[in-house]
Amino acid sequence: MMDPLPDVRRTAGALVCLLAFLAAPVAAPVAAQSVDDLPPVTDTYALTDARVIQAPGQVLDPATVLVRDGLIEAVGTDVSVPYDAREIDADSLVVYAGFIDGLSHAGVQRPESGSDDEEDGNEAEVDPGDPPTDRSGIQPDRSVRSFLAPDEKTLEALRKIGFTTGHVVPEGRMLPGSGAIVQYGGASAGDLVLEPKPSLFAQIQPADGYVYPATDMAVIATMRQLFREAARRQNLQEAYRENPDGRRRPPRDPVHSALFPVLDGSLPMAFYADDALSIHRVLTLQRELGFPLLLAGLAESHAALESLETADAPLFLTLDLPEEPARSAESDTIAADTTDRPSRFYDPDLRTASYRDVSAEAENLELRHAAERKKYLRTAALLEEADLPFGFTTREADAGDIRSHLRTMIEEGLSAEAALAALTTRPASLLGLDRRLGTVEDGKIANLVVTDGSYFDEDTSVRYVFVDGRLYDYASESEEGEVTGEASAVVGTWSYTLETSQGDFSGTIEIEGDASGLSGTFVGPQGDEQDLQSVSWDGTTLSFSVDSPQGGSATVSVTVEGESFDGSVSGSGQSFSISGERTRSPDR
Amino acid sequence: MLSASLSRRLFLLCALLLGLATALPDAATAQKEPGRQGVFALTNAQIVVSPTDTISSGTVVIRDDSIAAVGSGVAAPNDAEVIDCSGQTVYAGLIDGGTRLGIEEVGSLSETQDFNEIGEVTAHMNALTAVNPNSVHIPVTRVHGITTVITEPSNGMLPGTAALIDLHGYTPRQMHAAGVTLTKLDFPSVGRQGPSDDRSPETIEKESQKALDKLNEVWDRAERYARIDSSVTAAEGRRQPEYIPAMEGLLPVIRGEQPLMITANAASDISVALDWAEERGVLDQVILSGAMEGWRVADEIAEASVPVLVGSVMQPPSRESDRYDRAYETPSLLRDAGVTVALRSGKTENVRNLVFHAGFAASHGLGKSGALRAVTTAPAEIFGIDDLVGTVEAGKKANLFVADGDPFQPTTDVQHLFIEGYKLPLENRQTKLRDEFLNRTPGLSE
Amino acid sequence: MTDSISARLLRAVGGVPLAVVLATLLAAPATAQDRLRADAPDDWLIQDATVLTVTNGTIENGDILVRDGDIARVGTDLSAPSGAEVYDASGEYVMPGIIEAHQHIAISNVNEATNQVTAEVGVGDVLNPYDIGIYRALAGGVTTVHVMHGSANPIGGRNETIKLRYGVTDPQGLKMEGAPRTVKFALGENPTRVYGQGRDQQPRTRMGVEQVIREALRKAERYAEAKEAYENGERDRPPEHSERMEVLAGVLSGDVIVQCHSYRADEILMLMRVFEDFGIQDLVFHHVNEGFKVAPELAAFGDDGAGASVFSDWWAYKFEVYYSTAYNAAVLTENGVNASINTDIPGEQRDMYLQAAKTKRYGDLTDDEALALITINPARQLGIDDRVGSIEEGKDADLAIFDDHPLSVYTKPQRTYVDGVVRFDHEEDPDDMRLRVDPEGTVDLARDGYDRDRRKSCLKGVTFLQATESGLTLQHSH
Repeated sequence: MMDPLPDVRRTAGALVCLLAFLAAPVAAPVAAQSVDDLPPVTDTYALTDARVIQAPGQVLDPATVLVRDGLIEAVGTDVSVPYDAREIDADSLVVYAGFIDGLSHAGVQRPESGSDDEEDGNEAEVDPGDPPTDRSGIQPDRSVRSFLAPDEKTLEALRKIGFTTGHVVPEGRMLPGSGAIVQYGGASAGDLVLEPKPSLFAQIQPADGYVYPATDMAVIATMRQLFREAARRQNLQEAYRENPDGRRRPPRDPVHSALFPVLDGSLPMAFYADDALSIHRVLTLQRELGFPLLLAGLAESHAALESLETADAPLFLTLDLPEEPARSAESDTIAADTTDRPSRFYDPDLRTASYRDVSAEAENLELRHAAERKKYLRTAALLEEADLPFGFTTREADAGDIRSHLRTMIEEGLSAEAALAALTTRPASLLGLDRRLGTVEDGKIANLVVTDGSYFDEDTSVRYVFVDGRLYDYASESEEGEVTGEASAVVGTWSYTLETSQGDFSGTIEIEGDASGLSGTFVGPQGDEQDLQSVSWDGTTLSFSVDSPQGGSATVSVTVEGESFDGSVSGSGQSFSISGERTRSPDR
Repeated sequence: MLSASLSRRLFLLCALLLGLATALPDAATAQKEPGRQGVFALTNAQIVVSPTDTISSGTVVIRDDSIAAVGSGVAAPNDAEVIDCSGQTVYAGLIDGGTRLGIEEVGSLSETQDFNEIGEVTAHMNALTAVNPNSVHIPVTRVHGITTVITEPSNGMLPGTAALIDLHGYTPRQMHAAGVTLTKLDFPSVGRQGPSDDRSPETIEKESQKALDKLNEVWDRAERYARIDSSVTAAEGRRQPEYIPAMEGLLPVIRGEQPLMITANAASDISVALDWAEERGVLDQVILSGAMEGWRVADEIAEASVPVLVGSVMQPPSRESDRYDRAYETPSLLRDAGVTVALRSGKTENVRNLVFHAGFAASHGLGKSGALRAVTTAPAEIFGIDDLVGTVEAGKKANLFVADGDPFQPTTDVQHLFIEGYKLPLENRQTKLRDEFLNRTPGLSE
Repeated sequence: MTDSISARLLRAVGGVPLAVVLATLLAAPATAQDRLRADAPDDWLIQDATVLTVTNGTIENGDILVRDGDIARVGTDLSAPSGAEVYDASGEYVMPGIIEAHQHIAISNVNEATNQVTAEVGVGDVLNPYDIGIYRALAGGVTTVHVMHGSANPIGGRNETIKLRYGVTDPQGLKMEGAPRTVKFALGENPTRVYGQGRDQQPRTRMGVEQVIREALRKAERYAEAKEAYENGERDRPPEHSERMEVLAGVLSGDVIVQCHSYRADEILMLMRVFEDFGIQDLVFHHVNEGFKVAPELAAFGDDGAGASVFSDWWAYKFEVYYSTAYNAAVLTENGVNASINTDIPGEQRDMYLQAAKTKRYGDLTDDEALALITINPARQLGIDDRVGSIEEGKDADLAIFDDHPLSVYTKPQRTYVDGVVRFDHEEDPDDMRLRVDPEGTVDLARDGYDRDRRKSCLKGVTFLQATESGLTLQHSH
């Protein structure tokens, strides 16, 4: 189960259908052709004539960044391009340090649903009041390292918008296990890990399926129990080590032992807490038990600012923001202004009078929701104003929304400089990685983001990302396929034959649409359907990509001549021939 | 305020005196005396004839089941048992516009619940059938001056008919007050069904629309059923419609012979219900019940001339954003808009708290006489029996009580109670438990 | 919103730096952890009121001087020192802030209904200061509430005594500092329904409830002994740490007051016998619908008697409360039991004063006896009577002001002070008093059918369990 990377070449016979092929590992989806299919020839790169943001507010322009052996070898205005470098003309491009994700599950392979058989099978035998620790969500002895997969989709999506490193934690309930500092790119799971055990992940999250702890309060009580019993066991073990004579062997178990470094103060508890109540609860628990703390989430830190100011913990703010509901106020007058009876005792923004006029009342209440939403949009700015150093966490955010959320935060008062710091230098120092990451300086790990403008401009795209000196090329990628040829020449149903080392397979491809865009479906040999992505057609070449449900994707590029085509399918470092004929067209 | 022990002694003394006057051997048997009719003269009483008309001192004569005479100059008839009511006040019996009295005994025991027949459309069910005249709750309720209540079924959209019952009698029929029967319609709701309902707004809207479609479908059929049924009666040789009990149950409403009590609480539900009733041509039969958010659409309700049974009054508001006391104000906001307002407790075991609901409504805008009206004359008018009950006037049914103060005040005690002329003992299981255990014997000894 | 406030303002003001604009737009209050104004006074002279001290009679035209949140002086013709605000209470009544010994407002969880014994959990760990129920209680003159774990387990979790400091958003800010610790026990139908009927586990009967409790206390005794033995050097290692046993050991040592959900006379007697066996003195029964039957035994329990916190008149919602009487509080009081009245159900905590007033009708208690049921008596039951529960110099200035006698049905709360600051004022009270709203939400839907649902959702533990089960994920949203 933990091996999500079946080797297509070793898998036998019928299993080698096209979808199995698609499921094969794809290190860099679209860049595969340029980087992975052929040996890259060199891993030395020179980005020349670039605008280099070495750190927030620290710019070299124009300058050259030289990458070699996974490190930044040189940065400067007078760096010459060595003989072995692949030169990338970065005129009009901007180079940033790779972004660092303060807490996420990127790269963590989720077990397939249904495969977790123990839950169904043993349910009846579990005493809800005293379940085994793993059912309670108490798994501090696990490590996220055993769940990492380099082709996991979130990790790919985050890398594409510039995240190159993250503090990755396992999924689970109250104590899911220890995290790792993970590079968001690499050939193997082992490659990804930069630091093996920076934290123990925790959250106030009751157990699944109504067993103990079924409530937040029981989770908190369980944390106390675990810490205090761990302390007792640690003492017993130390005493035993010093003098085993005539003593009973102290109890030993992986769960309590996993907490020893936390008790020593050498391993922080990384808590995820989004709402104000959870933030307060975690801070209270921390004051009580005295563990080193890292806090992520913090969506409602605007409502817990005073407590956060006194907390001694690295902070990572969520990149998720509340969505505007379907029914929302049009106007942006703050609801607070609508009361006719201001209070001498409470803050004015509490007051919203309701009226007998039902629609006016509704409008008023919607305004209050809008004003509340505003607080979340402004939270990052607020943390900056309060001088609280913070990074970001992507855990609850969709990668596709992150850039627009960053823009919103900046519109609401976060300085672009602080935003960049929160993506680079802040998390580097908060996670103790600042000697290796966070800036574009020689000697640092070559984690870079190269864009064609300011990262915070809407029109800017990410062109290249370097992780550990490994290039991910997004320059040639166009999100939408382009249709310049006569659409009717390809629309319809095509039957295809795919020639692989394991034999030939056939299926159909449906294409529909017109000059404004094409779309379609790829039907595998066993009838499985996948949507076509980025369908392009220029009158000669038809190309599109297909995502595998297991992760990864394949690119299909064929030359169309009349009613037949010929071309190739490539992905995961392989390429196969494909040919086909149209069996149904618009005029038939 | 008298100390408890002193007032107990007084009570005993009064009982003894009363016992002597009525030639009964002692107080203990007096407590067990069942209700009895006769001729009674309540003398030297302040008489609240109606919420707006008070006689400062006078006599009320009760003969058999009716009030024979009321006035300051009225003399006690020779055959009357005279009850001196100096310092006390006579009020008309209070009416609760919505309860489950008699059809539910213990809240958690379904074996004791007869208000909730299975089925969405069970308009042929009659609450009166299942009224238990010996329910422990009935005497617990009436000692507070509450003489008459609506008892109503629920569960499903058309759960059956509610009945107006007097809180004395040995058969449901004896209790049925003036034959008042209302068909109940629990209108499809867009509100949340209590604090644990976490359906999305979209789901709620969809489900309530579905329920409304269903209601229209049922009503279409009921109208068709009534039309065919009428035409069969009109001419010979026509074929009866297929017998459908629920449709049969709706006939009196469709024919305009029976009121339709619509339960609706959310503002939009009320609006939709009024529109629906107008479309269906039953608006003039409609009595609205619940109406928690009626204040939001008070003008619409007034416009439709639909009376409202509001309540319960003492409950939190319908939305977190509403004022904490909005439910207390609802009766007055509706009354101010021109709506005829009566109160309902919505309870079984604590219908007795109707008096406090009225007190809260009074202090929140309704005023004392407005609140009294909402539990006497207004419900009498709404149920079409204002010629029979609701006031202390000659010719009316002798549903009345005598209290030593304002009936809504917790400090007040009811002294005498008459329902249909029956003088009823002011006892119930709760008072008996008090009597038995106040000074328990044996006490602490093992 | 497509056009943000800041963007608009920025256009309007041209060159002013963005940060400055925003600072003025959303100033400090949005971030403060107490939504009460920073300059809200806590020095007051409340003048010319009828002062119902509860413990020292009634003062006509009385004055109360409040300094730094405490009652500094009580008397007549007091003068206002400089800096003190004056509240003219002529024609009005001041009583001690109302104390409710049994509620479930202001907490995120009620029952940890997975285990028969869960003394280690505590609702104090999951206080929710955003609950609108806090404000609604204040609007009824309530200032202190004992918020409780539910009644699903024979031994439930710890409760928390809170002050209704509405506006405070740090949950810690609600706690009444120094209030004794208490733990919930529960007898009768609720635990037997959850475990016996629901899970086919003990207890299914009242016999089983007794033995579950005895077993837990015996284990706690052993635990405490083992700890002591280790501390005295008679044992080489401490026993395995148990948060659960720590709390129960506190019950045995008298540090933790037991607050026990109960109804029937037999189960009340049972727990008193068990506690006598273990030498436990601090015991308050809650609901106690049949307390009137065993009032002499309650009064004679331990050194000071067992307390009884009852409903005014609720009954018949299940079989074990069918043989109830509304005269319960009066019978208990007449028999010398320290009794209080509670409302239990969130949503009904606003009219405590009326619930107390009902004892005038049901048992003719005196005014002071009736008021004591919601002030000094519950304060004694919670072990906080040195701080609250009466109007006495030196106590916390928790005060409730009414426009009529608080035992009149027509009275309306005017003002409620907690620690000398006004947290409710009838005159300055807009409709929407929520401290926060869902940023992704829209106008609330009306809640319909409160009466239909209340028993199921609120009253007693079994149903809390169901509500909790279905609402688990919700609790982690806003």
